[in-house]
Amino acid sequence: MTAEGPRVVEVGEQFVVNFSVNAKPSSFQAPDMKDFYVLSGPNQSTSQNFQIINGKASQSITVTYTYYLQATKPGTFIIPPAIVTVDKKDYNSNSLAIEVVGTQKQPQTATQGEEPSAQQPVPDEELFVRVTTDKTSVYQGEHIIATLKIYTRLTISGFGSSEMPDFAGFWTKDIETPSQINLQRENVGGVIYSTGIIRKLILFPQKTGEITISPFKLETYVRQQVNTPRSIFDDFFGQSYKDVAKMLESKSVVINVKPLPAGKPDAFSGAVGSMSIESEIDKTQVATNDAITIKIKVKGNGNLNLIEAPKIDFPPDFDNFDPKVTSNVTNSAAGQVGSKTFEYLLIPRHAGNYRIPPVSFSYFDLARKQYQTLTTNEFKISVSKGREDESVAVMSGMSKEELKILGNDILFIKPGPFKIYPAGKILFGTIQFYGLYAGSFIIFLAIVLFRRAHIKKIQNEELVRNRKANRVAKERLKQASAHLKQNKTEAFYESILKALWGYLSDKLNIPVSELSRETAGKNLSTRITETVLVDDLLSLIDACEMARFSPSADSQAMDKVYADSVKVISKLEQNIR
Amino acid sequence: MKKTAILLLMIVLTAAVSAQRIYDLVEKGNLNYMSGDYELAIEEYQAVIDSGYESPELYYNLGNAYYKSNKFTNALVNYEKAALLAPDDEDIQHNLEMARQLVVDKIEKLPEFLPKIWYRQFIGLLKTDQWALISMITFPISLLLFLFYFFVRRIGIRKTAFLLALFIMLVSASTFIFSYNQKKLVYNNSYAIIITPSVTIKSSPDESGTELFQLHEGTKVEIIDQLGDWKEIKLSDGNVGWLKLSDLVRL
Repeated sequence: MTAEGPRVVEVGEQFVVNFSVNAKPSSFQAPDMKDFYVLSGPNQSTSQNFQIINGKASQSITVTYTYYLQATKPGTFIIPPAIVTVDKKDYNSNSLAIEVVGTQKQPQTATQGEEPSAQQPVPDEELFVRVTTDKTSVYQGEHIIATLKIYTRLTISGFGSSEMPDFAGFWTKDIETPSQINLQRENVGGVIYSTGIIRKLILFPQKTGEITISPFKLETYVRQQVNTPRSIFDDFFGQSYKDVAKMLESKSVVINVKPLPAGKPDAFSGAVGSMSIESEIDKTQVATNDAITIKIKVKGNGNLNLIEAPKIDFPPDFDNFDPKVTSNVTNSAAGQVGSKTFEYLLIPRHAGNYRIPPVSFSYFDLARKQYQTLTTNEFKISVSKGREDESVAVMSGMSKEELKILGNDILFIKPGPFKIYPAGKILFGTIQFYGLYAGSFIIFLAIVLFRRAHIKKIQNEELVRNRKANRVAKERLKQASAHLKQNKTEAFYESILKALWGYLSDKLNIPVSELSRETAGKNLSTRITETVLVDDLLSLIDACEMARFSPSADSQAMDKVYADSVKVISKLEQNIR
Repeated sequence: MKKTAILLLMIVLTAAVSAQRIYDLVEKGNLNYMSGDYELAIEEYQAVIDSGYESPELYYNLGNAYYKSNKFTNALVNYEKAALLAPDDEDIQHNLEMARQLVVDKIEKLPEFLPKIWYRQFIGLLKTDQWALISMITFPISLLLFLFYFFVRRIGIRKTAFLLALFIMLVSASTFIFSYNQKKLVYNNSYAIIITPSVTIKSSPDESGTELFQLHEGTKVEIIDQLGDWKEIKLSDGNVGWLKLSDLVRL
């Protein structure tokens, strides 16, 4: 059920409101129209249509309820929906908004009694064209609806030549409008005009900055009443009219096109609006050389026609072709709405498991004023060996493929944990570093010097003992001779041995306790050239040791031992080095 | 006594805590890098470096984060630092090459004396501290052997001790020099990277100097002299000129 009525009326003007139903209603409940004075109504009229086409009969019925109303006061009033009952079901009509404006002066052309002229100029405010846009400041790629409209308070008899504005800097698309211009009443600044939409376009700015839409020109013929010369025929045929041509020209419109904000995502290719993306694949398990179809569908409202095919990184083993693009787009006052489908054909050449990476699609969302990036699902395709594959395999075996370098990127970070140390702490050059060298060298030097001094001291002692050795031995021998005289055998030999060992100890610089027959002989032989002397000494010592504990006291033997001892010591004194 | 003990304990504890915090920061940086938040990763790595720590891996990761956020010059600087600390690391060398490819200026390198390169490679085998440690250990050993030489009577021992002492003293002296050179190369080097997108090199250290040539960010130069705010630089092809200190960042 629909309700129809004028949009704008004057106070006191009579107008018609129709409610039409495409069925036969059992009851009609009129809406409340208290804001208007009801002159007459509801007047019911029925029209019926009966058709037989190819033996099929169809019937349509329209019932119209007509009200004649008069506006009484200015303002905007709403006629609420009317309710009809058809087959025990209630249907509502749409509500109507009617604007009532105050009384205004009548168009001058119809004024009687004015000085008539043959070529009355048509005033500008009576008839003009306008180019209106729904927005004047947009982002690049955001759609604008431009409407070319004619406003008139006169009777238009026809149109002549027209010059459409060149929408330079825009990508344009016509929005379908009825080919016949439907005049509608509209209130412009308190004056009621009949308006007609000549053309409606959807514009997508292609560059940034201020873009001027050049004026729209339209030659219009206006029917004017001609008053003179009056003749009998004129009176008879009614008033005579004349068509007057007028060139109408709209003002130019300036659109400020803002560039899209910075931070464009990588996948952004100029899409603006609100969109969604979906992808589908016809099969994920194929044999080699079987075709796979992947469809990427971008749906939404925006500059869909300008969207480029998203780039998909197909595995290099797949043969792929340029996508087939189909678009299903309608241009309307809301913008460009619909979908665009990209169909990719893939032919896998080798068996294996492959992955089609997700497709990213970015657009600039006008509502949120930011970039949105949508991502489709990734697909996993498993390709099995087809029957024809054998020949391909043989071929591929003959011509080995080079390793395909797909990209070049930096290596990944070292995930750690790794050693982190305070910066700039270097051993070299620190006090500890040099200190170690200096310290160890000082210790070294100290040890060397101390040892040197010590050795010197010891050597001095040895020298003294060495020099004294002869004297000490002589004193001891003197003691032995005293014992000899007293015939004390044991004491005599003891003194002789003491003298011999003591002499050796002093000369060889070996303590008496460490001296033995062997050590003495060995040490002595290194310091003496005449080895006979060593043997003499050793045999003398042996003789003394033997005699010392023998009970017999042989004075002759004792004399000999004494003499030998004196001889050996003096000889040693001469020969030892 | 008790007080000092507590104080000492506190110092040790805070040191341990801050070390733990450092490792946590690095770990957080790594996680952010893996999830693609490169800016955050940069902040965390940089915080570790700012608090006085370093390691080739850290510079390398920071370089990676800079590279991923398209700050190639910063990436290059950090890769260079990492490469100085760990000259043999192949990952670092690879990424350094990647970053170097993006440098605008292509400068012919003067051929270097081959033994010099070998020497640098050899001393690069160990860090300066490691060389220094070897030198520090071998020096007293050498002295000890000299003591043997001085005070042992046996001719054979004395002979071997002397030769061994001479050899070890030589080792100590050469590692001392290696340590010194390595330290100079890594920490006191005179290399710098240009960070201004484009800079004009002058013939003298003032604005009115004759313009000699143009350099772009990422180019590695050697600083050979300075005068106030100005640095005299030398390119690897031998060209010399002056530029402002603020155009450079030292390695």
